[in-house]
Amino acid sequence: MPVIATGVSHVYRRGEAGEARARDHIDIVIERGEFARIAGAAGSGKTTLLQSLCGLQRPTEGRVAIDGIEAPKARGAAAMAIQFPERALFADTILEDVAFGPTNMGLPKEEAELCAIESAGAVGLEEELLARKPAELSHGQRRLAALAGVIAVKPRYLFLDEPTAGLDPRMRGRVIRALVELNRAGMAIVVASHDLEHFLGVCGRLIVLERGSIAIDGKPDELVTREDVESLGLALPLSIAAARHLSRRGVNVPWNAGPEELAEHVRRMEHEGARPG
Amino acid sequence: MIALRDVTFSYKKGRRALDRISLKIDKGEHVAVIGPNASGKTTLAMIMNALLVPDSGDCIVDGVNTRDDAVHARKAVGLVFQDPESQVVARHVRDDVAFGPTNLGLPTGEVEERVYGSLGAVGMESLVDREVSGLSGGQKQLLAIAGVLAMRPSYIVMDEPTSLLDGKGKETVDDAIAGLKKYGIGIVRITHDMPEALCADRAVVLDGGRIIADALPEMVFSDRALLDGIGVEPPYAFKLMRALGRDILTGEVSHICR
Repeated sequence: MPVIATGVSHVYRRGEAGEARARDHIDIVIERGEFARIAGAAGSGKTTLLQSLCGLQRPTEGRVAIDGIEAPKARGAAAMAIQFPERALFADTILEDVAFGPTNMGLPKEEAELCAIESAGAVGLEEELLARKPAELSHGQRRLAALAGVIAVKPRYLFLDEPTAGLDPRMRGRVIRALVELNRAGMAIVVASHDLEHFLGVCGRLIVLERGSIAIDGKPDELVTREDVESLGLALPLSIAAARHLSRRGVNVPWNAGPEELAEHVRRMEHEGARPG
Repeated sequence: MIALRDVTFSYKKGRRALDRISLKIDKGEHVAVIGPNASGKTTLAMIMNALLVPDSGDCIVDGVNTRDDAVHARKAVGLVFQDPESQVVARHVRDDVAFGPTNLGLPTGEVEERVYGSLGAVGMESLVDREVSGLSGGQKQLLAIAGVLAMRPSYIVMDEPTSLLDGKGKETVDDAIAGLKKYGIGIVRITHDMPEALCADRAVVLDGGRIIADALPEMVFSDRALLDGIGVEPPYAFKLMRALGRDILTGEVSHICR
């Protein structure tokens, strides 16, 4: 059974000055084992939606069920990595920190530590780092440790808010590879990220929010053909922007074309006397 | 000008976070700083605005050594942190932006003018009465930039100012940077987003606390061995222009790259 959100809205400070509606009657289903990405301009409701889907926040209207159980009660079924989750590392050692979730779920210490070691391996965090203090790890290593802590409770659905923000290209690649592996192992992954370029190739579904409502819910290649994409405030990767540009001139280029392939199309157009621009 | 001469800095007993760094940033110049995590980028930013003082070497801001007068550097060099939660201090947007100018003892009218001017520069003026806790991560990043703009610094050092922003937010920051450059403000932008680095006047590459390149962005992105060493791919726009045999941001398809 999936995560089902029905008529979900969230209003911050309802009835007070500064009331703000983050979501507006959203219906959405997150299937087991899928890899989805949520995009949208700053303030479009991405974080609020993630928080509701994983049961961290009760929506002011509507309901969310995780595998048939009302979200806040479906303990352990879904988990969320917040923005800059390494800020929340608090224990003396990384092992203790990663084991906190399983310990809190009632597992004996040894079993919880085994879960922690397994989770660290799953996100690609070197086992020798588990004995270290959080402050002794690099920024990227702390991010991996924080993600290990989130998956240590073995959620079936993992929600992540900007999991690659602030990471260098190598560490970003490690985080994305870890998420792909977790997904292959059956975990549903839902990522809110502005990083369209690096996540598009790995997610099968793209959900775009606009002012709290769903504007797009489909395959990533919809970004090439949809008319309204520019108005949604997305930073389109150049390959997609170029594919959109050329498709309007009757040239079909795949959304994920490499620079050489795209250049070949441009040269062919010029040879035929058409202006690409 | 911000001038660093042979700056070395270590945290406690650890290895050198910065190792004999020499660098100059002129007013009106836009310099991108790139490099892997833990290469010293954030430490460099904190040295420039005197949050940290070099162990050896000097950081001179407009002729004044930060070792002698840290307050001068903090007024001249605004610093935007990567994580906006580290920077936001007030409950409401208006009060947060007004915090710095009010502390400078400016009259109410001027504080108000700076609040609206700075929020306008980052497209946030309509949120002036909102509570900060209700803003998204990206909106808080824009708020942090507005707070620094309100101090009217001569230089702004931004540590990944757009890491939580989508397209429109990034464009707003890019436009704000272009505007600041016109007013002669020096910009240092730390980034992992290579297309952002491509738009700068210069790209400084840090690795292991040392500067391994300081050149035009096109030159840096042409150096495959250098980029491989730090795990960086050139931006798609750069590779496309190369594939077409054209100069970056010129030629008939240039607007595709923008």
